[in-house]
Amino acid sequence: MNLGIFAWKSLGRSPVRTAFKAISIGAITAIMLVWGCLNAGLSNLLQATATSFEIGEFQLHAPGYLRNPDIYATLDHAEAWQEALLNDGFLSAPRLYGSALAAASSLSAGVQVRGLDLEREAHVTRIGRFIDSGNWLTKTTPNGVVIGKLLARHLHLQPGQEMVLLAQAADGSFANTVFQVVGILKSVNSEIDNRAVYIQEAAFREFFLIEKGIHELAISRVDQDQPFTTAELRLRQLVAKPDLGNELKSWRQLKPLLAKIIDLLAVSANFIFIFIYLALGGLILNMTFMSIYDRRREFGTMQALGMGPGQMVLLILAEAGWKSLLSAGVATLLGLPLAFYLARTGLDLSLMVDHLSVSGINLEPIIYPQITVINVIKPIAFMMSSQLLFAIFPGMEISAMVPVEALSPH
Amino acid sequence: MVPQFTSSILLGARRLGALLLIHLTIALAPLAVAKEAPQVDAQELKKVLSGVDKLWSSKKSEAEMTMTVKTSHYERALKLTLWAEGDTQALVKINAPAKEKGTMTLRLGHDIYNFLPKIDRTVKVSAAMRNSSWMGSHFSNDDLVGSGHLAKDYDATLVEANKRGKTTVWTVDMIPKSGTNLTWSKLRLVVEKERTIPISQTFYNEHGGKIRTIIFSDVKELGGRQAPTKISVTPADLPGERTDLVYVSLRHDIKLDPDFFNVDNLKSH
Repeated sequence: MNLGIFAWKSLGRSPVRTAFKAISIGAITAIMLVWGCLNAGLSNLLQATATSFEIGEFQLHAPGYLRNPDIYATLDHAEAWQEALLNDGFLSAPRLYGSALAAASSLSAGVQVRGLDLEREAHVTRIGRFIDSGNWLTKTTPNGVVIGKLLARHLHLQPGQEMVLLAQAADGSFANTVFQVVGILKSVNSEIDNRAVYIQEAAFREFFLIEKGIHELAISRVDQDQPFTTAELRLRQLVAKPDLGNELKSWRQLKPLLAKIIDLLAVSANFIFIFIYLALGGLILNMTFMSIYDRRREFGTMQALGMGPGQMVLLILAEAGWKSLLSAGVATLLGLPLAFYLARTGLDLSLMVDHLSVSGINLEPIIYPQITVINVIKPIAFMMSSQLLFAIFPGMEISAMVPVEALSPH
Repeated sequence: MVPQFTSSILLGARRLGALLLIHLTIALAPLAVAKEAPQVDAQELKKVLSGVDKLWSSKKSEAEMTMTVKTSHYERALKLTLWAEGDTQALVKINAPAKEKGTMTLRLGHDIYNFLPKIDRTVKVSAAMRNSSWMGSHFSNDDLVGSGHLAKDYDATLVEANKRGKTTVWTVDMIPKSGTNLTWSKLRLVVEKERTIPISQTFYNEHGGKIRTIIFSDVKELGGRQAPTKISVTPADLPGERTDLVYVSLRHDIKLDPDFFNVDNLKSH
């Protein structure tokens, strides 16, 4: 008889035990499946929060600006850059930065004023959708400002109230203007929360007396399915062409700690898989030994009837294979629906933690699992490999038994 | 000391002044006929430092000044009026250029306020902005608050004494005493001993790096006393840049209303 069918029938002789094992291992695998998807979702959330709310996927600066963010270190020909980037499949948004003192009533604080092109910014980041109260900047409120959450708290400001900005303009004069707070951001990161004041590009130029040039060009791929490394290579070639010494940085270079944390999440997920399945393997090993000792006489009879040691090992492996397939079915049936449910609702951690922050980036405490073929297959593949691996030793043990000893009542 | 602003500037100016000093030192070095051993009675040293502290100071004073700023990006000139009372209250009003006319900076103790006529507001400068530039110059807001008294707030050591003609020039290293909350680790003062007139001050950070130099020059009669009328600051990290503050006039012991230095009365000045 075919060994596979024989193994299947063997499992059928103890259906309760087989079902119990399959459900137990399948349930653990389902948990690992959901956890793996959530872990990938957390990585995505971290990257998306960093890139889509603040930095974009890449940034272009004038030489030396990142080391010494001088208001005079501007990137020229911004329009030409934006057009060239668009032709090459990249969206870009110009930004201007300046230091100022923000004041309201008797309170004041040092701030970073960020001048944005509203239309282009919306193509690259989603900062405008991250409003806690009030509204994002619009062309109808040219003197409007949107400020960070903690800055608003510090200055006791609400949307609709006035805020004074004081700064040294580019010509050395003392710039001072009254702006109206139109919106307050949700918590993004400590820098934005405490110091960011967003205004429109035209208002920035008028306030700081900067006629031309920008400080930063935030860049993102038009086609998000395009591999990041391919896009980065093309972008570097494009930027290098004029040989102006401009500096292009990817989000991984701009946020190296965050990039390491994301890499670490992926590596640690693999280690956790290995650790969990090694522990599970120990249980499988024990259960398989118990099973084959219970069936010692049965295996002795098979050997007496002519089944060779190799076939004995294959039989045990075939049984393990069937069990792992059953467990995989259970894992898929339990894990996938749960993962899809969480993908719709998200896993709300706000009940467990007040504040979720990684590498200075504040995250929404709701994690959505990332369901991909790899994230689903990986825990199941780990489980099946573990089942087969830990069946080899018991198979070898039983195949080494002499039929007379196996059939002996002692 | 100078009305506190100037005295800060002095200290500042004491912070303000190394370039000229370096030039002077180089130029006058051959004239030195004898070099005194750097040993001095502590009381004598303190007396000289007190003399520098008192050079511009009075109970109430008013000064007209010009300030010119040269950076690699702009050059600007301002006309200022400075009123001061003791070491803790000072008011600076900008008279020119027209764009900034009427802008005032008030120092009350350790607090600084700016009155902005363009928007008719008074704004308190936060501690975070204390090191920022004042009116685009190489003076900081912190310079307005004061850099302490040379005689009281520093441990002074005479490191060099030179004779230049009939004048004795002392070089004194000054380390801020603990608890003085000064932002530099050392300043080197070069001073004319007899007239207690500062020549330069060089400021150093905790690593021994030079931060800036202040040079005092154009000694003339100012408010009835002989004092430098030009104070120039050159930042060490920005070669070619400088701010010159020049006294046009100085009147000591003038009369000021009791509530002259009042944050609520700025609009009326």
